[in-house]
Amino acid sequence: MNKSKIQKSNFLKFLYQLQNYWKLGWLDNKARYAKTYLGEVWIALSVILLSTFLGIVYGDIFGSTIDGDIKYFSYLALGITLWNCIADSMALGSRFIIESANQILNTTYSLKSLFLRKFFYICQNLFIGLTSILFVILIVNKELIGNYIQLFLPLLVFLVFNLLIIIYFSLIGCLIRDFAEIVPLVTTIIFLGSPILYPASRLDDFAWIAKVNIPYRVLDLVRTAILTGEVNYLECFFILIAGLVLLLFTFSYLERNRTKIALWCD
Amino acid sequence: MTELDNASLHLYSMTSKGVNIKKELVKIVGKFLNLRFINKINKNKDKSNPSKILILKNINVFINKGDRIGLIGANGSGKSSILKLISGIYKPSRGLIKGDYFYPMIIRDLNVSDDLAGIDAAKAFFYQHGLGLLGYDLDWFLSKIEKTCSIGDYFLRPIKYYSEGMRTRLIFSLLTSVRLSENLAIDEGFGTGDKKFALQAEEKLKSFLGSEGSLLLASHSNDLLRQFCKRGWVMKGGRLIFDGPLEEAFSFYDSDAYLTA
Repeated sequence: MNKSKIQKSNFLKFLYQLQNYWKLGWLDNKARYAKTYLGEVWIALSVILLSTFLGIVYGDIFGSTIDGDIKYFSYLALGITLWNCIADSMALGSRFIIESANQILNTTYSLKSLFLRKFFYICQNLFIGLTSILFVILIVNKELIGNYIQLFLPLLVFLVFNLLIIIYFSLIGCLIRDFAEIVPLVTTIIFLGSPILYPASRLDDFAWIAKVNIPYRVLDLVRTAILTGEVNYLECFFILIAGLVLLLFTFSYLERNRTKIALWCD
Repeated sequence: MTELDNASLHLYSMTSKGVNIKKELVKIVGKFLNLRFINKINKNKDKSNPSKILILKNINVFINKGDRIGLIGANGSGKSSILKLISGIYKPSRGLIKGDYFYPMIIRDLNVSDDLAGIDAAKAFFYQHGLGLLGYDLDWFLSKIEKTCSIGDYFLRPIKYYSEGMRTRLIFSLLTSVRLSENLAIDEGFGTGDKKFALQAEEKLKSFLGSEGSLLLASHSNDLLRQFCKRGWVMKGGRLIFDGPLEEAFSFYDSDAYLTA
């Protein structure tokens, strides 16, 4: 029989729905690379090529190692991979509701489903990029392998932060039409102004830049966990809980005002 | 049964809601420097740009099980808006909707990029609607869609190579593949397929609705409305000005009474 009644708890249903949104995100990734020969391999290839190229150029300026035995390449590659994810979240988020207005205004799909689909699309890019970079780091900095186990909690915080970026940037992009045009400029400024390309220790008197830069601090949670194995579990846990609570409230607000939000963009 | 109880719908005119940084800056500078001419322009703009637009006004109707209702009216009369209201896409700004919502067959979009194949669109439909949770099997679903849309090998080819008719067949097959609701709200029918498809679609839709299902069909084609509907609603300026047998609704729409209503 093609149809059988499935009895599942609400939690299992929720996980099943997440799996569905994950697969929808994968269809979007498949579409993005549909015209290429290498397909999704480009996700891994692009971060490796970019990190290698920039690593050679900037490694000459900042030295091949930073803060002890950590290779500059590892520092840079992780920074770029994680930053790409944040920049993608900002760029996609700022146009998201405007581009999804047709679906929001003509279907009963929940906004949550549309957001999570886009979020998983970005997650998949991050996972492929990060996995390939971690593999390369094993070659240049093999002593860091023990730190990989510390990655879970900071990465979870990082992902929740990205989902919040997508949602809030989409709302701002909806209210302020010019926002989507400002975002690429803002991401470039944050990228160049943050210690992503260069070591944080080089900031000296400008160390406050890194402290007030929230996207960088979330990025640095993950990078530090891999490079030094140091994780402030209490801080991560607190940020994670706060992020999840904020997400729940935001989703609840969004569903209640679904139509209004879509019409702002119409 | 579904009831609209004095339901009104306001939509927001986003030209005034959406914030334009340039305009806002001009406003702020105008206020700050007390430039009278800028303040005057801003004041006039605000007046001529109301934020709320009345789309549907005081709709009172009952829809019984098995009702097949044709929506008649000129462009902008509120046909699509009432479909969206009754589907739960819009929420009434005043009044209530009681009973079951209708499933909207409004969008002509496959929910995936045109670079992907029909089979991917079918997968996206399956995942988006969580059909696995309802107990449906993905392989069974895909083979059913492949069979019912009758587009042959094109099912595995990118959607960008589909003709308009093929696209229509695929969308129709997806929307009628699984009964997500007994009640359907359809905008403008599925007119771009060939004659064979039109006959298949008619049969499919009738069997899909069964004897219990209700239908709300908005169309400018009297023939299409006659195929499916027995009851007619005539809309004008966001108001429901006639509710009765379909043929009488057609007569009313063509009469002087419609013009003066």
